[in-house]
Amino acid sequence: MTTPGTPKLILMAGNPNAGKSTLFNLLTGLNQRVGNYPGVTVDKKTGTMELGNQQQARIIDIPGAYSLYPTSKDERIVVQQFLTAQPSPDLVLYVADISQLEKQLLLLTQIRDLGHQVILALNMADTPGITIQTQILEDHLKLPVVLVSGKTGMGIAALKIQIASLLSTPFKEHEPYYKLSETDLRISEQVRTDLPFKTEYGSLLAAHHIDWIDRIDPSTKQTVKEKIEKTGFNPIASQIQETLARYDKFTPVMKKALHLEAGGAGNRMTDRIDRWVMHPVLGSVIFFLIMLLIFQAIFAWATGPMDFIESMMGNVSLGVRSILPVGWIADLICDGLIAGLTGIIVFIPQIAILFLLIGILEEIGYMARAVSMFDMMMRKFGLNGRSIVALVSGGACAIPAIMSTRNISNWKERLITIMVTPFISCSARIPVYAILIGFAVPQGRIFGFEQQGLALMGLYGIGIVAALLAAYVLKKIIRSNERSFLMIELPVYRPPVAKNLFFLVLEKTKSFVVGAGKIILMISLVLWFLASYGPPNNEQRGDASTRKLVEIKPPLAESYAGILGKTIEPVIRPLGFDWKMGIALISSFAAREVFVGTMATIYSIEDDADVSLIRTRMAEDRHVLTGEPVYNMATTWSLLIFYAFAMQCMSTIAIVKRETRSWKWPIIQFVMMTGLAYLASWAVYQWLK
Amino acid sequence: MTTGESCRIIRFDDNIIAGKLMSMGILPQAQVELIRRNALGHTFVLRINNRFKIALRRDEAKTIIVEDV
Repeated sequence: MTTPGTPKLILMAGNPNAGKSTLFNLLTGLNQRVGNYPGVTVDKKTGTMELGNQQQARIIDIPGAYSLYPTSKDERIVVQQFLTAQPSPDLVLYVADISQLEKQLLLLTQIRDLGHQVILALNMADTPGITIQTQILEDHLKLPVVLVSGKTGMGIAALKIQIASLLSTPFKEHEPYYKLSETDLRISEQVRTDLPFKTEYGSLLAAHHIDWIDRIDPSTKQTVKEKIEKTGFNPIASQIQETLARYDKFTPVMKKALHLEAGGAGNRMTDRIDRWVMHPVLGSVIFFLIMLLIFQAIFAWATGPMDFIESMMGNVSLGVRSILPVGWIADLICDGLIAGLTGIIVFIPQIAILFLLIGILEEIGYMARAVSMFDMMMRKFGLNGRSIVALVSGGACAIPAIMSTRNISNWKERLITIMVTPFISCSARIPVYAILIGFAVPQGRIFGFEQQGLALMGLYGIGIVAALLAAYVLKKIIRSNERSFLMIELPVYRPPVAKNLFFLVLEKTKSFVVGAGKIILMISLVLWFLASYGPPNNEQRGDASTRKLVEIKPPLAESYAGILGKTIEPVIRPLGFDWKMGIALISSFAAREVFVGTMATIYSIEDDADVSLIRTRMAEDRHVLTGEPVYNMATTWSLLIFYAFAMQCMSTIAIVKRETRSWKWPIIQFVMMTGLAYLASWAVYQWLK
Repeated sequence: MTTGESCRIIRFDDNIIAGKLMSMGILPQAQVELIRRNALGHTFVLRINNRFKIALRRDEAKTIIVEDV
């Protein structure tokens, strides 16, 4: 019997592109989960690792960083993890790509100087053309070095043994690697009296980052800040001096320990690929072809599984109905609960496909290139090079697109991307456009093009224009003192690791279902209630004594949704809408394509798949007083414009709430989009009337 | 610098950018080669010490002061 005490804690750190996640997946396998750091949307990956002898250790995979001097909010996590987070780690597993080892020693020696026990895993040790004498490194850095390969799994067993033995023996701190300069030492000692960090370097870092460091009470912060000001501390000079001193110390040792063949095979191939991929003209063409492929994939490959999910859930619903007695419980479960669940699960294929493809682009090293190429164009609109991926995927579905903004590290650019992506016409708008466009544009050709096709293209076009304009306006409005940088490393191309892709897709799907699922379910229950119930009318009340076991559902027009539709009629009248459209607008909040189903219900059509019948009924609908068709050109265009701009998707609202960590932004987004929709529809209706 | 030219870094003009560049392994004395300009000259791709490539904006690149080798 072993007594399982608190498991030891290992932090995994390293530069971006060092292959950390590959190693993390190898060490933990399926024993991992993704959470969040408080306050920011940075994934916190935690896992459990088996050490043998029934011993386990907890591993946290820290986001990649270059140093302990962060330039974005997200990067601050790294400093907080090593400096202030509790419990303090028992061991730091530092992962470095052997072919770029030298520049990765900076962060390593910084972490070591915070008094942590560190083991260095040299990843990609099987790269040809590299010879290394680990003994020299071990002697110099005073820490164990293990050669591993995330690709083949080489050295992982040895790494585990090393970790287990380090965790079972007490750790004796070494001399600091970098000796603080006299001015820095003075600062460090000043800070130390108030904030007793483990090492001198820890206190110096606290002086650098006192403005945002966590777990320190405000009054202590104030005292420390005043002290620092009095000493005339120059943080940048101190940082530069430290960086140079560290390099000066390890560069000569590296020259002895590591021998690299100039321009290895990977390098030469990367250059050859980059000549095409980063070409000013050809590169853009290649990029848009790739984006087209992604768009097509989400669009086409997801349809099958989505139809399957919908028909499967439809069958489940029928099954439940056949078991349960007719009544509100069956309605609640089938029309509320199961419909809501369907609304969640149905997005999984799109999310999975998008992240599989984005994952591949990221893993092979293409994403960094795309970001650098579109940085300039996107920045004009307050966006980031990475935003273009979100905007393109938004053409299929805004939900995975918004989730893909996670790795935009500048908060303002990320927020703007999230806010404007739903303007791009997604696949859910197509059924609405398809049913309405015939009323707005007559069939026929103009300059050899199908008129209705041109109108459809125009609707997509105004979505893109609205997204860019909104981004530009938001860029001017949102204040941020976070500086924006490009400075991005272009890594050597390498094949994707299937395991990493698997975990990425799994993690994104889970985070959507868990994070947004609850909100979607709640809203769909509310919508179900509004559509199924209405105030009791007199007829029924008089009948109360002989009330049947079977409750009769009120027709849609008399339900709360119907009443709401009628109540908002004065508001939407200037847009040319009547109460029936009002009901459709309200019910469309579940998802835009519900418009079709609502129309079918309103016009009492049994089968909502019979689109041509719905269209016929809509065309026959006349105004009571004037006898003119309800769906004339002005009203239809107004409705089309409204659907192009308005925020009518509870799932998007749920995911925006999750990704921005507050209700503030989804509410602003809702007001902005629906407000614009209202104004634009009004203008169009008044103009065409 | 013209495309294909190789230089040596002397110093940096912007301290914050310098801090970030140095964290990424770009230090004074490092050898830089301008590989290409993109986006109408707004984005630069540099190769550092013949080992790795980095992309930066023109105004970021402008803060790097170089000399001919």
